[in-house]
Amino acid sequence: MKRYYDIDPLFSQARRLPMEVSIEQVQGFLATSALPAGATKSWFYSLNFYIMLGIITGAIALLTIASWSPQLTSVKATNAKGLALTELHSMDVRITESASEKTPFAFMPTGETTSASKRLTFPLIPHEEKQEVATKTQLEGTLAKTALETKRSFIIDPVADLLLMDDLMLTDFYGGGYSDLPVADSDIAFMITNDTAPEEVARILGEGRKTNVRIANVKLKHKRNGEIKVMKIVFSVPHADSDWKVFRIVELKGFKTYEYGWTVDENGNTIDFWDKLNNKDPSEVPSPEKAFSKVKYFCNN
Amino acid sequence: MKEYELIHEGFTRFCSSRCYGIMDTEDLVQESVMVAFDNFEKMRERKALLAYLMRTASNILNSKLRRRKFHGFADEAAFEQLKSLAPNPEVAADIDLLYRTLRKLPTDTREALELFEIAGFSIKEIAEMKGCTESAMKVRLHRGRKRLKEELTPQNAELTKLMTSFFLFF
Repeated sequence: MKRYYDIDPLFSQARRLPMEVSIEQVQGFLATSALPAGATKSWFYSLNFYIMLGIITGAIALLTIASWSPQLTSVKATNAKGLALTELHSMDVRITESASEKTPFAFMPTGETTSASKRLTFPLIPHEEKQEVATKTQLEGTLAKTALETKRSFIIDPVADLLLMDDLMLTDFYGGGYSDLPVADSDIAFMITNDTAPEEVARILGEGRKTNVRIANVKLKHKRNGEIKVMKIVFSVPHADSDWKVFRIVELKGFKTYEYGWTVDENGNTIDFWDKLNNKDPSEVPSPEKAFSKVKYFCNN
Repeated sequence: MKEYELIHEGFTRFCSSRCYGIMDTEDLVQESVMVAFDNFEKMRERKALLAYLMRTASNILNSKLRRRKFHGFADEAAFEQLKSLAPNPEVAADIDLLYRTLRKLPTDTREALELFEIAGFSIKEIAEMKGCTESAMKVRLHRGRKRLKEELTPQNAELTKLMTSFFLFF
């Protein structure tokens, strides 16, 4: 075996060996297959391109869907049957600042609304224009738009056309101006807020006895647990000149069901008690004050 | 391309030594250059091209070696290739022995020897490339040469050992 005491000749031979790849060969394959020096890969062939394409396409699709279906990006605006009111959201809405925002319960003069931040924000229909715009569809439309704009939810009762918002303000949106209009010509307009005192409700009844009968199905949604209670409140005034009125409260839907009423004279004195469902002893029927407290309780809870 | 032309010879010789028995030099050069050119814009300095090429070539070879772990080295085919390049078979045999012996050295030592002795780069260039001082590189080269010499002369080392024992006996 050949022995190497000096490795330099070996390295020298390796250095002198002809190169296996010439510079022309490198230039050749770069010209045919590689990109020019300094050039970057086409954006079209990179993964980032397709990721960005997907993101942009998805965003466009979402925006398109959102523009077609406003309820996806807004709060629910449904009627009591759960039907979306989105097709009505383009209705004209007239919203003005409340003239009596701090009033615990407010009867809304012609053309005014109750709303500001916490209160109901739908337009009341001026009495004179009632025939023109006070159709239910139109009202639902305005409510739907209001819901979308204010991002608040409404529950519209199909029977009594009562409205409940998340601040538990109730109103009859067929109501026109109460105090300024001849009440005999308009439906009763009432509103029970969470701080409405029973006396005030009694006063409403006292005033309302001159008007037609109103039946209100009111849905109350619990603020914390989302529980929904349905309460039917009947204001019954048989005749504008009558000196008595009947007030009934019916609780429905899984809660204690009872219906009771009492008749009071124009001074607020109880004339009669009755209990339609349970035939309770009138002495067991709560007084109007208690009943109103119950209303207040529901509103507060 | 101008930057590459300056280092082409050294890089090709480095590749010839590194990929002996593993893959074709041409393939290694091609793949390394392609990768380097694709990422040319990302390099902070044009001087880094050589270091980038070396690193790329090493990575490609390591990848090949991992895949060919149980197939061994294709020394015979590589030797045939070497014979076609060398002026005579004896030179080819010498270079073959050199390349195979270099394979036995630690990677750092081997690379230092290949870059200095075969590729012909200066100690300063290699030190910059490897991120060490010139003196450290000199030490590494010295030790590498010594180790290589030992590897190339096993009988001699054995004979010396025997003679040392003999003299010690008397």
